[in-house]
Amino acid sequence: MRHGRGLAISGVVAAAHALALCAAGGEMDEVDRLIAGPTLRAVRTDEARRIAVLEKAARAVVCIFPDRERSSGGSGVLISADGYGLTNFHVAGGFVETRRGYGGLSDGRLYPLRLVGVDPGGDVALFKLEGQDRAEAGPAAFDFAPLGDSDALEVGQWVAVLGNPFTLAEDYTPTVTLGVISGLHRYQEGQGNLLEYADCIQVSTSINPGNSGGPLFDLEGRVIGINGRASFAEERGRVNVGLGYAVSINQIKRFLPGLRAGRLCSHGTLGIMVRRVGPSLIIGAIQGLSPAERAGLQLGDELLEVAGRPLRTPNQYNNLLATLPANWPVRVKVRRPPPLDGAGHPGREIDAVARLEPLPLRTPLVYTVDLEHNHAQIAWLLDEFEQRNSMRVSDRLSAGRGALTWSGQARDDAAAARPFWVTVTPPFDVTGGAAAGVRAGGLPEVIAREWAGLSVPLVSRPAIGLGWEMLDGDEVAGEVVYVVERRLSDGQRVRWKFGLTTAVLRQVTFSQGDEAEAIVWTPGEIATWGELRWPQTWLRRDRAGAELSLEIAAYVAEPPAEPSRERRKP
Amino acid sequence: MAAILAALLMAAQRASTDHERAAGPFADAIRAAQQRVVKLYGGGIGMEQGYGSGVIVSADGGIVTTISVLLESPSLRVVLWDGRKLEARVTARDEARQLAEIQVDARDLPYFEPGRSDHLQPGDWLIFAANVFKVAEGDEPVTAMVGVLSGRATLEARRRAQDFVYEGPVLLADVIVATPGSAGGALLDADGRLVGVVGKAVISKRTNTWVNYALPVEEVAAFLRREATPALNRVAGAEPSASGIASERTVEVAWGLRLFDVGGVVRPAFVERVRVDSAAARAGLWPGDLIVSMNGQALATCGDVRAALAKLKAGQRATLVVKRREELVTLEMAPEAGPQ
Repeated sequence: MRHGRGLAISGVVAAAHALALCAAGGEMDEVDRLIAGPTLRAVRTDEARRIAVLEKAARAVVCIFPDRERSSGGSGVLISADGYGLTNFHVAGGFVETRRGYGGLSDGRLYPLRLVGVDPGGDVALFKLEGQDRAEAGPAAFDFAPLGDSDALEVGQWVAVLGNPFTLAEDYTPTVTLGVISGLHRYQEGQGNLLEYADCIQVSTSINPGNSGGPLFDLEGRVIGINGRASFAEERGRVNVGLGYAVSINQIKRFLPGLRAGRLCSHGTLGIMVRRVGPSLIIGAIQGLSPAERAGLQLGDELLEVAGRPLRTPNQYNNLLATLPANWPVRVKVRRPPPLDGAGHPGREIDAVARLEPLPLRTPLVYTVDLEHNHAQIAWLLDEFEQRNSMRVSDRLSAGRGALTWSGQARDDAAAARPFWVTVTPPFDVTGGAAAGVRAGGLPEVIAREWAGLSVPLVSRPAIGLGWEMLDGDEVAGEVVYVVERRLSDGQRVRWKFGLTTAVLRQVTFSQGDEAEAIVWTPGEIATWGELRWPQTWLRRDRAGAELSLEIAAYVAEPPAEPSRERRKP
Repeated sequence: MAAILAALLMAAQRASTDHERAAGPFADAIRAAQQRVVKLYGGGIGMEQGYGSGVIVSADGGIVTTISVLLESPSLRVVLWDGRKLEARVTARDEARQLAEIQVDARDLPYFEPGRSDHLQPGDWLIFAANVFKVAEGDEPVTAMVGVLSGRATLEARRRAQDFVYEGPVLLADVIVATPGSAGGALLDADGRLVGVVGKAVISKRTNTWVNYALPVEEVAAFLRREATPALNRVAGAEPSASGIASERTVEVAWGLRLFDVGGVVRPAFVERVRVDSAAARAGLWPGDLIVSMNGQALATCGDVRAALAKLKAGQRATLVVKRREELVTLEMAPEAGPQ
């Protein structure tokens, strides 16, 4: 174009040539100016940032193979330093019997891999890379990607897919593709109730066979989903046409405690059918003894909200329910129609909480819990709890009469670590007799016993064995929690619930088997002594709904003299 | 180079002006598109899908879409962004542009004012919104994608065995729009203005790959102004087109003749169907004939036959040579008396 214009103006070949060169030179100057200008610098900075983020992300991406021959394969992503990673169930399905596969990292090495837990309904599996080769680098040897918040996504936002499409990465360096979020809350039907993609993320990012199980990243390098499906135009074969689907990471987080515990996770159901009547969503059928019926819902109730999400169509209801695990607590808001003679009455709104019951899996898959692994996870969780909450368990002592005493190193003093000694006394006497706040007959004994239960993970490193189990996750005050259960000899069960990301103790329950009847203890304010953090108050709610708040007395002292020091000697 | 710079600059400007907005630089344009693109549902035939997309072009329910088998459905249904389901009727067709206008009974709809696309340079952002694979149902927002303009070109393309009739320039997009349900969807610039309507999925005859293209919005505007198009003229039986190629539909309507491109290296026009009482029937054409020549001119493809038919002056007769089994048969064909 430019050269052409030069020719037309001059009409003389030599002059035209010179002019053309000038014109080109001028244009180059303009391009140089653009390149040096602030806008392009901003683009470059942005790009450099993206490259850095994806380079780091790539180190967490795994190429997954069922065998050393690498005859087929998928992708995965590490989510913890000790080698735990997510993939699709349909990728792990190739070795679900042996639970042994292989995972290649971008360091070019192939690691043995163990299948840990599976969620066939949601097409998710958790594995662990066996990092024997990395033992010299310590236990926290694996690069991993942090988890994002898939509820905060926006259509149009840039996202990256990393994985091993067409298993073409000989050196296990993942392929990177970039695109945008094309849709949210999408539904992609499964086979029966297997491999169902509910409330999933639709992306324009190229996803091909082999990308299955790999991560969907936001441009901060956080995992926001696990890619597992795509729409294909049948006449063109199974290649990307711009519609990929990822299981949302927030769905996966709800299953993560159960997956980590090494379980076969089930999805939940309320036991109702909903249908659209005019603008309303109505409960059109309700199963006897279903969670919905037990929560007091009735035929003909208008469904307003489930789990805080307003619903208008049966699709929205099914889409949401399919993302929730079995036994999950779900808040349901309905409007009860007025009685027949209550003409003009709008009906009343009812809030209920139901615990979903498991949807039976339509598959012959048998997946038994590996108890050794399960118990190891309890030990790991208690370690996390100690570390994250600065509980110095190893230094701790327990004392009689329900009082707990332990020592630590107070590091809040910048000068030097200062030994301290803390005694925490429950507001009652374990040996009997009324104490402050506890008057009802027999109550002190019961509470003292519960107190001992509450304190187990806090005061002693229990021997984890028979009677202990890490269960599927739960939700406490909107936070996903791990659940550790201990069955006592009299049939009582104690469950400790620790936050998924914080490992904070959120709740302790005592029951005789039926969790709906459990006594619930919730820690209140946290007091800090040196590095030690301890709930200053506990709220106790019993079966009848009666509440009791207990304040825990504590005093801090210098380490006592000889006798105690003697006890600390090994 | 200039194209790449343009795209990068656009990105930078958007990143800086919309820096604080979590929704990102495309959020407004995408929202605009999702409210103005409708989902179409009707009957599918064979490999033709029973769903598609349309773009609202007037507040009172005028919608532009691409010509497809959907329009032949006894019941054509439109689903608006808010989930409303409405019956639609076809109010205008443009065979040459492969566009149709349909109408629903509605008021105060958000709509696109068809404007211009010539401000777009290769490398500029494009936003695509359509009912792709009917992933979104009811009031669920349609699929949105982001890409850039690759360039402008004319297409030599086919739809399965049929030649693609639109001959004008198209917008080529670096975003996959040649997908089931996308035809009739919208391409927008980054400011949320309509710049093109996605055409039916076609395969380039040169590369044998699916073409990601859209009709420029100028063609949509011309169609809505009912500006005469060559194809409409031909359907009326009047003047041959400037391009000299009649559409499949013209040939079918005017001559009662349906041709089929059999594909392969040598691809003579195969007579698929002959309408009873048509010019083709009176001439003695049979289904199964292969058309060899017209008025002494050899015809190699369906496109050649259409071009030759289009060049016939009104009332002019044609001498056809067809291959019937192992024989060459000569036939005389006279055009219909009046317009169809």
